[in-house]
Amino acid sequence: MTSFRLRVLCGAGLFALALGFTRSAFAQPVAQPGGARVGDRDATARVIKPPRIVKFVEAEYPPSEKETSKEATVVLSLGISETGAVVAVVVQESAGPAFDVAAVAAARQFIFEPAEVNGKLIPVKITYRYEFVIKHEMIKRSNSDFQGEVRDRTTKKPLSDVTVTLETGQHATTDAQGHFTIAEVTPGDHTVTLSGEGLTPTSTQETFEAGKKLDATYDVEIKANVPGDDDSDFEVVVTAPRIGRQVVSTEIPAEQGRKVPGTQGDVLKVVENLPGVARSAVGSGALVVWGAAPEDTQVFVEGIRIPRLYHDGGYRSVIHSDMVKSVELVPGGYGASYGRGIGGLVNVQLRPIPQDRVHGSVNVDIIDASASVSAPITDKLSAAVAFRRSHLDSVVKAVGSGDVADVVPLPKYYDGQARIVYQFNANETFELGGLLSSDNTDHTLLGADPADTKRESQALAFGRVYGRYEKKLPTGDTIVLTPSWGKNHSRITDRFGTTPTELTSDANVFGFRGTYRAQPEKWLGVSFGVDIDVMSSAFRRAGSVSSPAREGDVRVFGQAPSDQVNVDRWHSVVSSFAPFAEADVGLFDDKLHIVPGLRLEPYIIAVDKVTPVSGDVPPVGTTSEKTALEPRIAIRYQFSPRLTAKAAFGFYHQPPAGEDLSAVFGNPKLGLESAIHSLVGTAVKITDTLNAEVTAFYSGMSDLVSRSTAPTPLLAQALVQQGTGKSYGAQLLLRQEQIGRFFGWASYSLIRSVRTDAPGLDERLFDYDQTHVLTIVGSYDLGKGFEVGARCRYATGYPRTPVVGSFYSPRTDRFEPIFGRQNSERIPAFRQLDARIAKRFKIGATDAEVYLDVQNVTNHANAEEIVYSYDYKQKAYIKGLPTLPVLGFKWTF
Amino acid sequence: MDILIMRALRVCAVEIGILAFAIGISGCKPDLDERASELGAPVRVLAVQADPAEGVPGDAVTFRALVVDATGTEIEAPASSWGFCTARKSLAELGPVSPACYTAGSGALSPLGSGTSVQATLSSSACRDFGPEVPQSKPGEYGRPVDPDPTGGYYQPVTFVAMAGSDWVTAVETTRIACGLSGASSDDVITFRQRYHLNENPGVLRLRATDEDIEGESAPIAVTSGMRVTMTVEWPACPDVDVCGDGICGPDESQVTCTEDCAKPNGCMGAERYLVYDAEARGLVVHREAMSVSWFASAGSFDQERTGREADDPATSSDNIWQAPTTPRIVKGWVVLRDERGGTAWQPFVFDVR
Repeated sequence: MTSFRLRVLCGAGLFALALGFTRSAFAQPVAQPGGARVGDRDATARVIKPPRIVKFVEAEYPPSEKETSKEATVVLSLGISETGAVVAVVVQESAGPAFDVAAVAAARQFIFEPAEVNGKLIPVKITYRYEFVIKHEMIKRSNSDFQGEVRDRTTKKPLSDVTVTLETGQHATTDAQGHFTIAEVTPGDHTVTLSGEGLTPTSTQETFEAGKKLDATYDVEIKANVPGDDDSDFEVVVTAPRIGRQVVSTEIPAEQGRKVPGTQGDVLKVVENLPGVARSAVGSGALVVWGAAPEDTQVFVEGIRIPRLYHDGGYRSVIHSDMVKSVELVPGGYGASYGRGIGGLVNVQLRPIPQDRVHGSVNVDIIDASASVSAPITDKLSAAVAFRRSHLDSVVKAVGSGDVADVVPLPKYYDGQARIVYQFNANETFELGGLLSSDNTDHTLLGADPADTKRESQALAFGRVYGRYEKKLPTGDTIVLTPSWGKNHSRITDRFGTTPTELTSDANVFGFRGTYRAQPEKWLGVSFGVDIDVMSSAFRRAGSVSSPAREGDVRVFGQAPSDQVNVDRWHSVVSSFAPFAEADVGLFDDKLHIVPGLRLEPYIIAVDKVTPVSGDVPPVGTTSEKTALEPRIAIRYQFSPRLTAKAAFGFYHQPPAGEDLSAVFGNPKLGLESAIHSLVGTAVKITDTLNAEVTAFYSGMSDLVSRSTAPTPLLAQALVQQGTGKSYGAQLLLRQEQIGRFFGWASYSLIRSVRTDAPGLDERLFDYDQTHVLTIVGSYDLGKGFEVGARCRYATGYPRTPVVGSFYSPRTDRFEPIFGRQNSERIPAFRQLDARIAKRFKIGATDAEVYLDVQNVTNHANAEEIVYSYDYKQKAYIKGLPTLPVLGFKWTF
Repeated sequence: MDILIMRALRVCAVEIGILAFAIGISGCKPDLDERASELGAPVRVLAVQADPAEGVPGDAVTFRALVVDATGTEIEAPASSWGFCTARKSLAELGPVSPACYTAGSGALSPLGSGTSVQATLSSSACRDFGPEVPQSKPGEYGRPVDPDPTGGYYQPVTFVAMAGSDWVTAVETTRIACGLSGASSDDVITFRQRYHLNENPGVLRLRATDEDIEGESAPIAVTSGMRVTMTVEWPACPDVDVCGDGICGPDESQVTCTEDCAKPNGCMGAERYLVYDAEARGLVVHREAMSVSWFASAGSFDQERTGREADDPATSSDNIWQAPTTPRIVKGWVVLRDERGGTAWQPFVFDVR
C-alpha cells in the first residue's frame, strides 16, 4: 500500500537573514556551530545564529494530485519574526496551485527558534524548500505496538541513533538497521517526533487503534544531504530591527491571538489579557494600562494614531484580524519615537499582503459578519480589503423579545480597511491605505414621568488615509515615511428627564511620521525622525458641567446629572512637531545595550474663545505654546543567553483634550500633563520556548486635569490643572511559546494607582485601580483539526465611593446620596473561566473553522456595578455576563 | 412530530442565547424591593412648597413641608427646623447642593425657624451666591456665575430637618429665585424683564379614582381588596396663545402690552408657558412646563412611582393604577403635583379597603 508523505529539506537552499543596519552581502563560512559570520563589508564580525525549526507541520499531499503520483518541490520564502512565528509565506518556485497551497498552509504553522545576531533576536527571511514525494506508507496492523524504520530519503539507507518520541514520553532509538519499536502505546492520536544528530526535529501525527499494530517507515532528510545547506549560502537581506525596542512590551502574533478564548477569533482583543492591563468593566472596552486613564493610552496602526482599539461595548476591535500581523502592548517606558501620551501604547502591525494568489475569508457569528480578500494584481502591485458589520441589534430585534432592544444598549458598528502595496523592488515599497470605523449606540428607557425618561445615544466614527513609503538603502539604512490624514467624529446625546448632555466633535487629523535608521558602527545603531500631529476640532456641548462624568467624580451608577446646564461651541487646534533621536549602543560583546533617546516637542494649542461669550461682546481666542523636552533611556544587560536585566526611565507629556478646552465646560488655557516612567525588570529564558519576565514600575504624574473644587471658580476655569498621581507595581509574564500543540501564558499584575486632585486634598484611589489582575491563557491542538483553549481571569474590583446616607430633594422628588470617603470601597472581585473549542476542516481546497467561544463557563455571578434603592438604604450589585456561548464560522481561502 | 419539537427547541435555544447575550450586555440589574411610593417610614417628607413659588431676592417666602408618618397621616413635627444654606456647590459636586447643606454642624446653615412651616426672606445676595451674577473673586478676576437649570431658573437651597420623636429626615429644598439672565444681550435682558413672569404653584384641579372624585381625607372611597384602581389627577389648562384680557399674563404679554392681565401677573396653575433664554441660539424662546406627579400610599402599590406630561404634551391630567392591598384596612395616600419650575401642590386621598 502506498500513500504520499511530505519530505522537507530542512534549512535548504538560500538562507535569507534579515539584519538591521547591515548591508546586503553573502555570509561567510560558519564560525561556530549554529552560528555564522555575516560577510558584509562592515559586519564581518557578526555572529549569526540562524533560526531553528521547533515545530514542523506536515503538509497534506494534495488529493487532486494523487492520481498523478508525481513528486513536486515548492520553494518558499518564509518571514520569521523575532518571536519565531512565521509571519509571511511567499511562493518563490511554484509546483502548481495544489502543491503551493498545501506547502504554504503547512509552513504558516511552523514555529522557529528565532534567529539571533550577536545574541539579539531578529526577524529573518529564509528560503524553505518543500518536497512532496511518494513513499511507501507505513503498514498498520492490528496491534498497539508501534514499530518502524527510519531511512535517509536520498540514499534510502537506514539511519541509526534517531530518536522517535511520542508526546506521552515514550521513546525509542533506531538501531543500526534503522528500526525502532515502542510497545504498549495507548490508542488515539499521538504526535511522533523524530530527532537526532544532523536532523531537524520533525513531527507527524499518527493514529493508534486498540489491538492494532502500527508499522511505519519514515524517510527523512539529513542536513548533509541538503544541497547548499552550508552557511556560505546564506543570503543577507537587510531588514532593520527597530531601534530602542521597548524594554517592556508584549507582542502577540496574530495566529496566537485569534485562538485565545474570549476573543472570538479577534486578534486585537488579546490585549485585554496581557500583563499590566486592568480588566475593563463588561461592555466598556476601556484600556487601562498600568493605572493610567483609558484616554492616556494611545493606539497606533503602523504608526498612525487612531482614537480607539475596540468598538462600543468592547466586543470587537476596529481592525479586521486578517489584516493584523501582530499586536504589541507597551505599558510604559517606551522610546522617543512615540509621545503625546502619559500612559501606555498599543501598536498594531499589519500583515504583509501575500503575493502568491488570492486569499480571503468570511467570518460570521452572533455579533457580526466580516470578510476580507487580498490578491496580487501584478507582480509588483497587490491589494487587500476587509470589512465588518455588526448585526447583533438586528438579531436581537428579530429573535429576542420585543423590548430587549429598547432597554439594552446594542451597538451598531462597522469597520473597513483597504490597502494597496506597490513594490518597486525588493527593498522599496509604497503602501496606500485607508482605515474606517463607525459606531452607533442608541438606548432609551422611557418613564411614565418625563423626568424619569433616560435617552442615551452615542456615535464615534473615524477614517484615516495613509501612505507608507519604505526604502532600504544599499548601505543598510532604512527610511520610512508615513503621512496620514483623517477625520474623527464623536457624538454623545443623553437626556435624563429634561436635563441634556450633548457633546459633539468633528476633527481633522493630520499626521506625519518619518524615520531614518542607520548603523554607522557595528556597536552603534541610530534612529532619528520627526513625528507631526495636528488636530483641528470643532465642538458643541450642552448640558451640565458635570456630565459626562470624569475620572474622579464622586457619584453612583445611574445618578441623575446636575440640572445646572449651559452650552458652548468652540474650535481648537492642538498641534505639535516633534523631532526625535535614539541610539542603540552595544557594549561588552553586545551584552549591554544602552538606548538613550531625546524627543523635543513644541506644542501649539489654540482655542477660539478664551472666555464664555457674554452679551454682544465678540469672542476672543487664545494661543499658547508649550514645549516638552523628553529625555528617555533604556538599558538592557544580558547576563547570560537566558538571563537579561533591563531598566528604563523617561519623561512623557500629553496635550489637553480638545473637549476640555471649552471656556464654559473646561479651561482654554490648559497645558500639558506630565509623567515620569521608571521601570526595572528581568527576563529569564527558562527553556527555549518558556520565558518569564518580571517588571516593576513607577509612574509619577503631575499637572493632571481635574474639576475645579472651588465653590466660586474663576471664569473659564471649570477644569484646573492641579492634579497629581502615581501608579506603581509589578507585573509578571510567564509565556510558553508554541511547543508541540500547546501555547499559553500567565500574566499577573500588582498595581496601585492613586490621584490627588488638588493640593491639600486627600490622596484617593484612581477610579480604575485594580490591585490584582491574573490572567491564564492556554490553547491546545487536539489533532484532526480540533483545538481547545481556556482563559481564567481574576481581577480586583474597581474602587467605588460608599454611600453613607441620603437626603431628600423635594424639588426633584429624589433622594440624593451622601458619600463617604472617596473610592474607599470596592466592587467584589471578578472571577471568570472562558473556554473555546474550534474545529478546522477542508472545503475543497479551502479551509473552514467552526468555533464555540463560551464566556463564563461556570456561570459565576460577577458583580459589575453597585446600585442602590431609591433612598440609598439598600445596596445591590449589577451582575455581569451569564454563561454566554458564541458560535462562529470562518471560511478561509 | 419529533422533528417539530426539535426545531422548536432549537429556536428556543437560539432565543435564550441571544437574550442571555442581550442581558449580558447591560448586566443583570437586581431588583431592589423598596419603592418610593410606599409609605412606611416613621417620618417622611413628601414635598416642600414655597409660596410664592419663585421670589425676588428680598421677598418674603413661606415654606411648608408635607411630612407624614408610616400611616400616611400628615404630622406637625414641631421640632423640625429650617435654615437657608449659604454654601454654593462646587463644579465637582454632582448633587444639587453643597455637602455643607446637609452636614450636621455645618456653619453654612442660617436658621429660619421650626415646625413644618416657616416664613423667611430671600437673601439680597441670593442671585450672586446662587444665580447669574458674577460672584466675588480676587481683584481683576471674574468668578463663574452659576449655570441655570433647563428652564432658566436659579435656586436657593433651604435645608429642612423633619423631626418626629427620635426619628428625623433631612430634606434640602431648592427654591426658585428670580435673577434675570446671564450672558444675554442688553435687548434680551430688557425683554426678559418685561415678559418673564414669576412662576406660580400649580393646583390640583381634580383627583379621581375609578371615575369617582376624591373629595379629601374626610370622604374615604370604598374599594375591594386587591382591586386595581385607576387614579387620575387633573390640573388647570393653560392657554396656548396669550390673549389680553383672559386674566392670565403669558410670556407674550407684559405690563406694557397688556396691563389688564399683567398689572399683577397671574398664572394659570397648570403647565404654564414661560420665557427662557436659549444660550446657543442667543435669543429668547417660549417653553411650556412639563408636569410631574408623585404618588404615595400607606399600603397597596402603584404601577408607577411617578407619572407626568412632557413639555410638548398639552394633556392636563395624568393617570396611575393603584392596586389595593389584599387585607381590609384604611389606606391613606398623597398626590404631589410639580411643575418644571419648582412649583408644588398636593392633595390627600383615603381608601377604605374592604
